[in-house]
Amino acid sequence: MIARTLCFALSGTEGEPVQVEAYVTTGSTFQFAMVGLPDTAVKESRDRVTAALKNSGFTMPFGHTTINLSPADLKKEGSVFDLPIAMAIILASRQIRPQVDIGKVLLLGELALDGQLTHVNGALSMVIAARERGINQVILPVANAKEVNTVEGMQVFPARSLYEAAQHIAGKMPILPQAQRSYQECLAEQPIGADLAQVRGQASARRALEIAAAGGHNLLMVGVPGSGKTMLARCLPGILPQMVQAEAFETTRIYSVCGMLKPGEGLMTQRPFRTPHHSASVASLVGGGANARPGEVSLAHNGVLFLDEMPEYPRSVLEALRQPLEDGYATVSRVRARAQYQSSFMLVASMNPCPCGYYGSRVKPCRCGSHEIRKYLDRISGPLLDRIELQVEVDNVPIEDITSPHQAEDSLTVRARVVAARNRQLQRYQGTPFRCNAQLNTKHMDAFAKVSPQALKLLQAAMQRHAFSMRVYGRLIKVARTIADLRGDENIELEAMAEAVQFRMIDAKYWGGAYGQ
Amino acid sequence: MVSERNSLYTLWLALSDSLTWQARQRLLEEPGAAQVFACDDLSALVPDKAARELHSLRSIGLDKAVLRLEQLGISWALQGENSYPQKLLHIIDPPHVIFYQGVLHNAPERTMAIVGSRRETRYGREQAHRIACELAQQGVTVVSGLARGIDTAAHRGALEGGGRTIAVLGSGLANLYPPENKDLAQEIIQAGGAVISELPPSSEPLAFHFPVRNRIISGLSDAVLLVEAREKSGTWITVGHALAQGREVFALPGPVDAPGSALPHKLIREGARLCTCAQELMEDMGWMMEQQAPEQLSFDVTSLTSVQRSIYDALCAESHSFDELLALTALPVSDLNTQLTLMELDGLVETLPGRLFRLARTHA
Repeated sequence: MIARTLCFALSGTEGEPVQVEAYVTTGSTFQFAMVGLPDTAVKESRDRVTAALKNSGFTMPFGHTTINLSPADLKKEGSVFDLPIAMAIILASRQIRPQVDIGKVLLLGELALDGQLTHVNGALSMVIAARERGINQVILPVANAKEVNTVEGMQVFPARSLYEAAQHIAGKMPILPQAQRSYQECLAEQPIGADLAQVRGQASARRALEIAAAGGHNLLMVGVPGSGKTMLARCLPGILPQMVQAEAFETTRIYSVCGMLKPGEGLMTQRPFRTPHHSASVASLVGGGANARPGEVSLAHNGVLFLDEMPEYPRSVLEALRQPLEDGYATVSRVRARAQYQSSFMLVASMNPCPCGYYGSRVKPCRCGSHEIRKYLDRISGPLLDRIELQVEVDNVPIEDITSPHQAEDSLTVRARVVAARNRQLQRYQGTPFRCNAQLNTKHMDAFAKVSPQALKLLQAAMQRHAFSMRVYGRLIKVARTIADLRGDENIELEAMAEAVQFRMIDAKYWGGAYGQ
Repeated sequence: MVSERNSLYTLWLALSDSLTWQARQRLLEEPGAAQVFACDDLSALVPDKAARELHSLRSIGLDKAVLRLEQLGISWALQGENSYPQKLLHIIDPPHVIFYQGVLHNAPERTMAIVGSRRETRYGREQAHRIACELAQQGVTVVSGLARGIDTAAHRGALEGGGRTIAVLGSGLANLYPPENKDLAQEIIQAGGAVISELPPSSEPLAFHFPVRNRIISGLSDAVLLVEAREKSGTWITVGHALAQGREVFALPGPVDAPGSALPHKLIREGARLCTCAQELMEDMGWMMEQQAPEQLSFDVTSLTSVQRSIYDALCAESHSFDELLALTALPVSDLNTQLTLMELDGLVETLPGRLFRLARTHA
């Protein structure tokens, strides 16, 4: 007879429903066929399922067994289909009598040969997709339970083995549903990591870091070697607010799909901080490979992508960042696969001002000619620079400051201000797709970022003086909006705009006029 | 008619890339250009490579060669012609032909060469720019080599001052070097100046061309100003030429601990004139100032707000980094940012690389 179970396949980070059909009939020989575009991992499941069935007290029906994964045109990957296939065979061969509506239960999990259920990738995406389609029960491996326990309205039954899952469906030994957790409960105490209190001096860079964190803006730090650019960047996670629930779902889904969520790990609440090395390829950064996997920009979704020594990255890699920076997602197209991954991240980059590193330093003379400096800086193209709205120079800290007992402000204090500014933004953007000022688009700029007449006059003067592009114009307003949020202003006043412009001067100074004046 | 043919023969000799000045001089003196042209076997007179070049030029035909120069927009001046600068005739080895774009003439004009390092510092760049600009305003023609660094700053300064400037290349005119100065060369020509070279248009920018070219820079000028040069700089050759040609030599002092101050200070110790501004140059040269330097823009300090006044006062003595200003003014970071932007947009304060702030230099 025929039995059907429900599973989901992954397409990018989205889940697509897949019906697993098993047809078991008598025959004089043993045959086990699987159809419906399975990849190697899915095909291999026939051997795992056969062994797992026998080791769980069931039998593999002698005769002809056909498994069909429908829709037949959707590519199925991974080991997640083991459990639904095994269950469909058990049901089709009437080894148990289901006490639940099996078509309404999502089954997922990989089987070990002894019938144990093991961790799978992408569980969160599948569970969310199932919930959106009205499914409210899921049986999955224990190791995946924590990952999905915040999905509202979903009863989660964590099973240790195929036997437990079968007993549950047969109603003989029901599994206790996992207690649902609210997102608030998941928010643990946020570890600070590198603390701003350890950073001496650098008032200007600290301020830039705070503004960047408060509005989700991109930040470029230019400075001599050893001035503390990397250390400042590493302080960023400690002052960023935790993710809101929707953000946590988005980011965790990407990590889950990539298999970067450890078994037993729950929803991610801390913003990711990704630091790809400068030997990274375009595919590893924006996504790619035969299966169009997500890249670093997507792993940094809702978090930070930190590029240390930015000019060392190949030009092609840097230019590939432009589209995700502008659109907030990365589209990966390959011959066999195509996927779109969210990638709304803060780009934080650091670089030296010149090849020798000491241009503009008062400590050590620079050995570079203006031509060499120009060539070095030209590795960062204008369009990319346009997209980095905050630019700050980091200078060597004088020795007196390093040894002074005066304690600098710590990350907790700064974070409190950042969180307050972010909350103001969340409130303002209620009912819109935006979560922070950096995401604001030109269409909604007038409504959400009102500029006072004096501030507008200053902005126009600055535009003229530094020949800013229209893109910079929009980004300056967004930064000014964040500064206004930090100040608690309703509209963008002169002071906020003037400060925003201050963090844009470097552009003209290094890349602008031929004279660097 | 005869002399016109003769000029063409001289041009023909000048179009050979590998013929040195001395070799060409010998040919012009002994058999004469016409005789060389008429000679069947050139290899008896000149080295093989030059012979091949001259031979192929001759077989193409001189009319074709002239046409090609005209197509490139390149003019040429022979010694004694109206466009050949008078001052060059007084040096020991004047170029036989000068190829040029723009305007060249033998009318008397005040000329000053500004030379210096290709690896310049901000200081040298700013000073070269300023002095060239001041000189241009006084009607002095600024001569330099179109190289990177000080040369570029000098040309740009002269252009900003609305004056005439001459760039002497170490390569052919159709092979302009460095390539990023192509636009600058065009601007020089458009502003009534000239880009000149004694080398044929297709000549490469080879290392040994530049020392030879330097004698033209000093030769064209009444005086040479050395702005910034390290020990062993090629500009020392220009200075040597200038002294041999009897030109005045000036040096602009720099910070004593900067490598770029080595040669200017050495020159000053050896007796060169120290120069800090165009006015001093003009006085020492005995040139009348055509017009008074415009008054330094002064502004009313009392018009500043008290906060801006404290920043202004802090910057009066020397430039400061952002953190230093913060300590000196005791302002919150955000306020200092705001005020600095406002003062920058008012043209009161400038920022330098390294987030260094200083009062704006309102150079005339």
